[in-house]
Amino acid sequence: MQEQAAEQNNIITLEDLRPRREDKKTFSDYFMPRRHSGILFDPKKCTGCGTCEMVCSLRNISKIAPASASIEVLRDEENGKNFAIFCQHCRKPLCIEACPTRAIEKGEDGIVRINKLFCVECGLCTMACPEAAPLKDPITEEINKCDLCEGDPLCVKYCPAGALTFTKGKKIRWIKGLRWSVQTISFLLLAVILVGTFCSLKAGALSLSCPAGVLQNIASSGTVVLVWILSASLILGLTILAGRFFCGWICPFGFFLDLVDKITPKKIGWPSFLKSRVAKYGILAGAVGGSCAFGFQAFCPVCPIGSICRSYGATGTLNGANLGIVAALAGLEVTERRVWCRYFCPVGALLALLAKVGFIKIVIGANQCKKFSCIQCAEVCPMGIIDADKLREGLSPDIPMTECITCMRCIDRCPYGAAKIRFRWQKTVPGKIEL
Amino acid sequence: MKLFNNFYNMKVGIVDLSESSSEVVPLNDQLVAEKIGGAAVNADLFKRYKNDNPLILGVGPLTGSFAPASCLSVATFLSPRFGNLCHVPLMLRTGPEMKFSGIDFLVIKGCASSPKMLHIDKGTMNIVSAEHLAGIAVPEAVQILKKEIIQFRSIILTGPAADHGVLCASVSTGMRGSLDKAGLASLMASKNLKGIIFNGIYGFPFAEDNLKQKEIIERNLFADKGHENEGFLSVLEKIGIEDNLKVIIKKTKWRNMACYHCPSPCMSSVEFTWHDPRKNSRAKDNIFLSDHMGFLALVKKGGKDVFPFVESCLRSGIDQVAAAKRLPENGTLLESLNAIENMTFTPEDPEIKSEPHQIGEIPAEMHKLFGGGIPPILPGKLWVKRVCLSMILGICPIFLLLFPQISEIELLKFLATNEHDLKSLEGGFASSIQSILED
Repeated sequence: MQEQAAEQNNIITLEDLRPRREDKKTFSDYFMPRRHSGILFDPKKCTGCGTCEMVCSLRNISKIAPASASIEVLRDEENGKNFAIFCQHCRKPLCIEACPTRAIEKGEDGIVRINKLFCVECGLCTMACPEAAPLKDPITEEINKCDLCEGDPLCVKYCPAGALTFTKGKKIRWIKGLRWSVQTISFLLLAVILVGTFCSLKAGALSLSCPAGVLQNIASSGTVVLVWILSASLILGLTILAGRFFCGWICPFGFFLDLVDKITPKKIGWPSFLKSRVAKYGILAGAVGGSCAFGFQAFCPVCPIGSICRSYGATGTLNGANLGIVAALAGLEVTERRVWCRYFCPVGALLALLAKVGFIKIVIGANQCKKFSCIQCAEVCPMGIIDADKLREGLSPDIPMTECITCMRCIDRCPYGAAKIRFRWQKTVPGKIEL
Repeated sequence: MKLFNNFYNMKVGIVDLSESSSEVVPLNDQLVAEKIGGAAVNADLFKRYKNDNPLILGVGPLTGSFAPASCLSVATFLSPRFGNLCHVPLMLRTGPEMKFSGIDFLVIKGCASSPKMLHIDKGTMNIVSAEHLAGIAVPEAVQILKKEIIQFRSIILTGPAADHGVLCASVSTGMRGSLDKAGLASLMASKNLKGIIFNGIYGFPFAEDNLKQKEIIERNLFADKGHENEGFLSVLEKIGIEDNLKVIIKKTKWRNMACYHCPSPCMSSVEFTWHDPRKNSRAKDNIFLSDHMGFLALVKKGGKDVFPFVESCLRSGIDQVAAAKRLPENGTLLESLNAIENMTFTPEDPEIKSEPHQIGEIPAEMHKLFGGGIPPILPGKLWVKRVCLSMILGICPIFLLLFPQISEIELLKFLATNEHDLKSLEGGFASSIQSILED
């Protein structure tokens, strides 16, 4: 019995043979993410000539056999459209999870490859892939999958219509750079240099205040002072013009949460029963009601935005109580990104009401979104408002401007230029994503 | 000369529909050495099986290769419409799929007792029943076949017009029509052959070196102007379309489409909206335009209503030029659509031979020889030479007409690289052209 137990302990598992490769991030990855190589396909340019299949098959099996290529052109004769199926080298490839022999690996260079030595041609990767991109060779029965020709794809080189283009990822994401710069400057200004000025700043004739603070002030004092309203009008006006721009670009606590998010990339998930975006409106109503009842601004003492602005005192000391609030709420980042902003922030709630009638909207253009398995926009959205399932179904998702913080990460990330900012009254094409 | 063995499977499929039998015989080395391929070999095979009124399908040595626009297969038969031997070009993916399925030339003789479909896959030929497809419109029939056959890659198919004995029926490659104006569909229907499916999954081991020759040709072609002046409309402009008609058709949404490995698309897919008088509702449809001569004839007659007419012809499998002739003068859209529908169900007298639609300086007998559907992009003799070149080598005739700067030598370099072989090829090529024209 003891021997049997020993033998059992000595069983070699798949984990021993093919340990799953951890996607280890280096320090620089947090600030300069690795480029995402891939092929972009423009269905409007594709003529369906099949040259891509031809040259791909030549590389795969050394003969022209379109059926053995790693790219497949689907020709929709009825609707006169062509669509190319090929591997997108997803950030989190489902094929890797599905492969029972761990034959599929994502390399350091971001290319997803099949190790033919371990592949048992079960086809589970094809089933798992949203694009069904791993293609079974009808002759050899092997699974063929694009490996980007190790960085110089033949299909791109020979496509006569220019429908395929190779990208190593955007070299400079200018929106990202601009946003981080604005956020950093705002943080330094509001939390370090002009300490406490976010809540209320008065410099001569200029008067600026937090709109939620003003609302509580009005409730607690029972009087409406025009100067108070005017002092809040900068942020309110900005919200009408550009949505919740303040939350995405200026808010010092939002910036702090973005930094915390960078060092806590793994999320354990926020409990689903607490996932109510209405809660923040309740907190706003509670803050106003509390202020009315108690005669002072009820929420401001625990407001994390105010706390972070006040945590670094005028004398250069750190305010422990305020830091405690900031630290406690930052801890929620291990569950989801910007949990506070999504569910609880009353300032965000007030701005959301205005953003609803604001001038702009973000759209994922039905005509431009070309790859259902890309969903990079949904992955980067810090507010989690882009419905990845809808994108996978080929539907254009609705983006609620009440929840959108106009950070423009989706616009910056989309390789197809499908995510766009538009005026509210501009016509966009909702519905089915065009092939 | 074993030169061509690297470009053919060296197999000829012989199908006897009367006996429901098929066999594969080796392709004669000597035959391809003399005739090179395509229409020239087809003509020779036709002579051998003349008594069986055969339908010969064949590919050229460059069909499916790295040569640009290597999409062609040629159907050779005695035209029931014109009464002469003719060579009809079949484009899109028919040629490569035929070669990739393991057969280079196909001889179809006899007549089946009931509608049949020929299925060519992995070098074998199967005759299967197609009774359930009789009388069904082309798009619906293709959809049915796509559901029935797992590996469905390419098909030529006849429509309801051919089923009803209409001589001016036209064969359709998939749902996309063809340049057949010589009655290929009608001949197939007379043999009770509904269609031929090619499943070319095997591929063909062409030499990789030919990629360089392809690059040289395409670099020279597109170095100056790039890929401009492409699409269906550009070909119409070359064969003469009035400006007022151009304005009408430019209003629709076009998308350029190409045959197998063609760098310069000459076909288009068009999305159009129209008021369907039969249903009394607005409809949004999509059609594939591949027949330039047919479209020109229909647009001259129908003006802005041309798209519903083309769609109707494609559904029924009717030659668009013949349909244009039958449209009533100054008739309403409903009357014209009814005229096309009546045409689909009205058998014609096979004894009455018609003349092909003629535009430009191309002699009528040459139009008849090549099926009557190749647009007259170049003048007389040059047109004939370029079309012969394409029909023998297996390259799209429209591509070679659009780019006369591609020389014969440049194309022959795909077949041979040394001077001696090239010289003998040139000589063989001239005699091969002669054999087509003499027939």
